[in-house]
Formats: sequence, C-alpha cells, structure tokens
Amino acid sequence: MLFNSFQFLLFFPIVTVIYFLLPYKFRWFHLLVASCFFYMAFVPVYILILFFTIVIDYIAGIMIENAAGTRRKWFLVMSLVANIGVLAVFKYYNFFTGNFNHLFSASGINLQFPILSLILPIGLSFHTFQAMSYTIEVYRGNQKAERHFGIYALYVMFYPQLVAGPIERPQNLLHQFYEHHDFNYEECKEGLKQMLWGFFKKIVIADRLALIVKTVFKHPENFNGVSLTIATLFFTFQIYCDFSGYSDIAIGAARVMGFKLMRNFNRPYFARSIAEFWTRWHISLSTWFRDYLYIPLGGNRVSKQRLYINLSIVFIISGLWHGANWTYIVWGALHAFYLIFGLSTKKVRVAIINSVGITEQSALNNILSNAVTFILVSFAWIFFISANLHDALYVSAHLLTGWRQVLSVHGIKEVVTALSGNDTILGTFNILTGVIMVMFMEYVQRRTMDGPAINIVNNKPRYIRWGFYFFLVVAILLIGVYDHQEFIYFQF
Amino acid sequence: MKPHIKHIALFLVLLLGLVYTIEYGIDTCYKKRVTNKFSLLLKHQVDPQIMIFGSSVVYHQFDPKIINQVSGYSAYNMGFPGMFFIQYNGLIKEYLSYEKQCKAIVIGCDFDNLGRNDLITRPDLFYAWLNNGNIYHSLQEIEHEKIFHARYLPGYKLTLLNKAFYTDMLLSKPLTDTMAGYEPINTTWEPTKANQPFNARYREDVYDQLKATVDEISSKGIKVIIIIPPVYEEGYKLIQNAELIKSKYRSLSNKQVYFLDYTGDSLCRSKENFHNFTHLNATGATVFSHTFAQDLLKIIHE
Repeated sequence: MLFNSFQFLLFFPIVTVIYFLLPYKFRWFHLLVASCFFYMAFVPVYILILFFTIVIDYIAGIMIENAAGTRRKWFLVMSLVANIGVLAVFKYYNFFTGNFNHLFSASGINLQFPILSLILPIGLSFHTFQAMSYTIEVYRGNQKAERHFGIYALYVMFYPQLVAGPIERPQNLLHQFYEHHDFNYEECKEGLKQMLWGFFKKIVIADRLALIVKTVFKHPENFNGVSLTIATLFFTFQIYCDFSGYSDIAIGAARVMGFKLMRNFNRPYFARSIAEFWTRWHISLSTWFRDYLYIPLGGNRVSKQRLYINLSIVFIISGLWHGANWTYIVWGALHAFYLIFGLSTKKVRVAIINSVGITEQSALNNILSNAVTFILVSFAWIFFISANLHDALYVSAHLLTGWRQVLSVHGIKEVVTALSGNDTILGTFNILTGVIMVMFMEYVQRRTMDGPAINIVNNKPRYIRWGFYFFLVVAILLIGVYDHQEFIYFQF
Repeated sequence: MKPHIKHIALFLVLLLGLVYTIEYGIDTCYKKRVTNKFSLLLKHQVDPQIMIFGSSVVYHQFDPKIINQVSGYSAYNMGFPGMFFIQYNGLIKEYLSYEKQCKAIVIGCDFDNLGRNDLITRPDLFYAWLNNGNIYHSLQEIEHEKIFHARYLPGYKLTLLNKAFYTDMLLSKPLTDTMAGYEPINTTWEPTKANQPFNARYREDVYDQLKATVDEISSKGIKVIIIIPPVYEEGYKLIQNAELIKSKYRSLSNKQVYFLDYTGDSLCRSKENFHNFTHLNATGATVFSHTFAQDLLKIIHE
C-alpha cells in the first residue's frame, strides 16, 4: 500500500483508532495484522519471503544467545547467509548472471546461466538489513534475543517503516512494542504535522519535479546541456523530497501511535562536505554501514591506504544496495572518490583557503563548501537516475552544451517546451510550481535547524499556525500530482 | 483530551469549509464560462430540433449546417472523439430533461459504441457538473469509485483537476460555435496502422442501457435514429462481428426508432472520401451530411 494512496487515507486512521481502543496485550497482534495487510497490498505472495527471513532470524537470535564460543559465530553466519541469500536471489542473481553471460560470450566460452523472471519484493533491502542488524546486535550482546515470535515479527514488519525505512536497530524499536502507549494529544499532533510535511514534499514537490525529470532522462540524447542540467538539479530535489517525504510520513505515523523512529534526514543539502552529507542523508542506512561494515573493516584507525580501501568497499556496497545496476555501483564509487580525494587534499585545500585570507569558519567558506558539496552530490545523482551507464556518461559529457540558448527569450521558451514534451503551458506550470515549492521548502528548512521543518510555525499565533497547515493541505490537493507515483526507494 | 476536542473540531470545520469553498468557487467559475459544447448542453442553452450524439464518427461527419439547409430543421452536433455510449448516455438524458422542440435524436454509432472503456474520456469537461444526476450516473458507470469520491468526499475532486481543466477555465476563449459542434477533418487519406481482422467491442449490458434510453426517448414522442456511418470498404471487411452488432441495432427499430446503415453506401468505395478506415474527411462528410439530411427528412415526415 502506498502512503500516497486513497487506501492509506482510510487504513491509517482505522488502524490507529483501533490501536488505542484495544487493551495493551492485544495491540501487538493488531499492528502485526495491519502490517501484513499493508505489505500484502503490493504482491501478497511475497509475504512468504518475509516470513522465511523472520523465522530464520528469530531462531538464529535465540540460538546465538544460548550458544557459546565459535558456535555463536556460526549461527550468526547462518543467519547472515540466509538474509543475504534472499537478497542475492531476488535482487542480484540476474545482474551477476547477466554480466557473467556477457563476459562468457565475449570470451567465446560456451556457458550461459539462466535468467530468472522474478519481481523484486518491495522494500526487500530495508527489512533484510533491519533483520540483519537484530542478529548482529544479539551476537554482540547489545540486545537480548526476542522470545516472543509475534513481537519479533512486528519488529521486522512494523508497517510505517516496513518498505522504505528508517532501518531501525532492535535497541531502539523492540522494547517499544512492550511499552504501554496511551493516547497523547501532543504526540499525535506532532506526528500528524510531520506526516503533512512529508505528503507535501512527496506529492507537491517530488512528483511535480518527476514529470520533468522523467521526460529528460527517458531519452537524454534528445536534450541539450541546459535541459540536462535543469533535470539533474530537479532530480536532486526530487529524490530528497521523495525519500525524506516518505521518512517523514513513516516517522509521523509511528509517532501518532506513540512510537519513536530514528531521524533519517537532517537537511543534507546544507552539508559543507561529502563526509558531512553522509551524516545527514539516509542516516539509518549510513549508520548501518558504519556500524556493521566500516568499523568492522577497521574504520579510520588504519593506514591511509587501508582507509581508502575501506571507504571504497563501503560505498561500492552501498551503491549495490540501492540497485543491481552498474549505474548504482558507479554512483557509490563516485562518492567514495569524493571522500578519498577530499581526505587526501585536505591540507592543500586548507592552505589555499588560508592563503587568500578566508578562514575555515567564515561565512564565505561555508557558502563555498556548501555549493561545491551540492554540485558534487547533484553530479553523482546523474548515475543514480540514468537507466544505464551509456546514458549517464552522455548526460555528464553534455551538461555544458547549448547554454547560448538561454540568452534569448525564444531559446528559453524552446527549453521549457522541450522539458515538458512540447507543451509550453504545462512545462511553464511544472517548472514554476516546482521551483517555487523547492524554494519554499528550503526556506522553511533553513529556518528550522532542529526538529521537523514543519515546526517553523511553532510558537506563532494560532491563525498563523493553522493558516500554514491549511496552505499545505490546499497545496497538496491543488498542486499535487496524483498518478500513483511510487516512492523511489520502494524499489530498493 | 477533552479540552482539545473543541480545537480539533474547529480545525476540521475550518479546513473542510476552506476546501469546500475552493471546490465550489472553481466549479462556479468553470460553469460560468461556456468554453465547450457540453457546458452549453448542461446549462440548457442548446435546443435544436435534431440533436446528434456520438463519438468521433459524429463529431467529424455530421454537418448541422447542411442538415439544416436540406431538411429545414435546426441541428446540433454533440459528438466527441473517444466517447462511448455509456458516457454520453448521461448527456442524452440531460437533454431530454429540458428539450422543448426536439423532433429527432440521432445516435451515431461506430462499431465499438456498445463497448465499455476503463477510463472516462476527457473527465475534466464534466468535473464541475458531478452534482447533475445524469452526468454523475453515466460517469460512475465507467470509473465508479473515483467519481463517487469526487462527488461526496470534500477535496477529492481537487486532486483530479488537471491542466486541461485549468486551461479550459482560465485560458480558453468563450465558445464561438459557428459550426454547431461540428469539426471536419481537413486532411486526406492517412493509412491505418492496424489492418488485422478484429472483433469490435460489444457488451450486452451496454446494449440494454441503449435500449432503455431509446425507449425513454420514444416515450416522449421523439423519433430516434440509430446510424452506422460510412466505413471504408477495406476497413469494414476487417470487422469480424460487424453483422452481429448491426443486427443488435436493427433489433431496436420500430415505428418510432429507425436504423440507418451507411456501410453499404457508395461513399464507402472511394478512399477520396476518407481520412482513415472509419472517418470521413471533410469532402466525404459534406456528401454524407447531404445524404443523411435527405433520409432524415423522409423519416420526420413519415
């Protein structure tokens, strides 16, 4: 079930009201049934895959806790193999066999692996990673094995974060299912506000920008550098509004019922370095990789060369986590390159900045760092959105072409018309609405550096607060795009 | 909780009031501007003696001016491309509710007319009129849930308004309508890509609806003329169930209901008259309108 669907508009209040009406002891069961219903609205049979990993990890958790010595490690390995095995079959099998087949035929080897016709279960990477974090934490002794099968299943399946995170740690979420959540007006209000802000970002901004982005990246060879640059910048905001919008809805929906999920985004485009960007973007995934891959590889307490290798491994795997395509791998590798380049040139860069009289803490340095980081991140998104490497390289190579066109009104009109599939009125509307709403969002976010952005109107008179909420609702209804656009991160 | 109930209620009432006001305002603005012929009908501002309903085979082929010149009766073309009978059935019923001088209602049928499509054709033309029972029921036949929500759920309709609606409301010029709803195709033959034999869409339940509407028109003393307009002979051969569909239409005919089949007309033998297999070009439409007007005259005077 999509958050931006009519079904969810009915599902959410019904599930929430029943949740608070039920005695505490039945609530976990109610949430579990609701979560199953939520997941089965996509492809019902895929709940069996989820059930398989839940059973494996539930048993593995208890076995790890009860075992001692190397047996603990073996149980952990078995659990990880089962989880990664599911990912390997459903997400990566065709990618790797396809590449091997290509390699074999190019080398004249008469060997071809069969290609499977499987549909990727929605949110597979998210709940697999959440399940893996459970067994790892039990192994590390940071979390007691969960004995209640239903509660454990709910930990993996809790509907607000089931299909696109945040990827919760057991220490943060599991105990909350045992707590008694009474209806709390303030929490409910804050949760609903966060959901409203999430819907606004998704339906009004992300889906509006997507109309232009899709047109351009479907056939990038039909567009010049101006259009390609605009589409790339639009995608930069589209993916942020899409995914952070989803996270806001998920966190808000959980909060209405009294659950606290971790923050997943912290104004990433205000970051002043790539390293800082990764502490602000998809926080639940970047901390997952930090805790379960980067630190076990040695973290930054290793030689420089080893550090660079570790960073490359983490970011390439992170790219592969996003999708079984070379474009994602290159996207991850590009971020690794940014980081390594940044680290290896830090002394030189600081020296250059100081030599021209700019201090590291100055406003000018902040603006420049922010701008450079934003440009680098936006450039990397080209590989993320492109259908294949050929398209991504084409876009990268043509970003600087055709800029003379914007020197004339006629040229600008041509760009607008091209961006919207030969409909100037629609194109102008989409571009203007998209840009104005992005500026509005950025303004709101810049004014609220702590907590959800919608808190910008907290402490204001009621007519301003309510006016702001009414504006968001009306914008969602009137300017929103309603053609059942899925969230980008569902496919992961 | 209790102290907050007043706030929540006030918030919801104000929000619903705002949404309803916006919806009402948009509907009113749209209704005020007559930018298309459906608004003309729904505002009861068109009342010819011969009203012609149908899809593109009506829209591009029946010239009301010629019909008027030949027969002496005023005529109006209420055809629209892509519209099936189940959608324009509501327009027929609405027209019946106010007409004062109608002599005959013509239903121009292509062979798919008694099929059912999954999506409403140009829904934006009708969103402001969902409180009209006839329009509501005909649209609901096609997209049940969407139209139900649009009518009864405050704010839902706002999510359906698209660029075409706003363009129509804000940018379109008022309807000049010099052709009385008719739009000729001023191009020559364009070969149809699909030239494999096929079965035209047909549904018994839609046929029953047509029969009910035909009975309703007849009961008001208005003649009904069901027409299958000319189809280029090579194209006609591809329709495998053409005879079955014709027989269905024919079975409706009686003293008040006439069935005219133009698929055997001499027009159908020359590509020069056609734009494609199923649509006459402007030249063909002119000839056909003359032929039809003469047949109409005979029927009216019977």
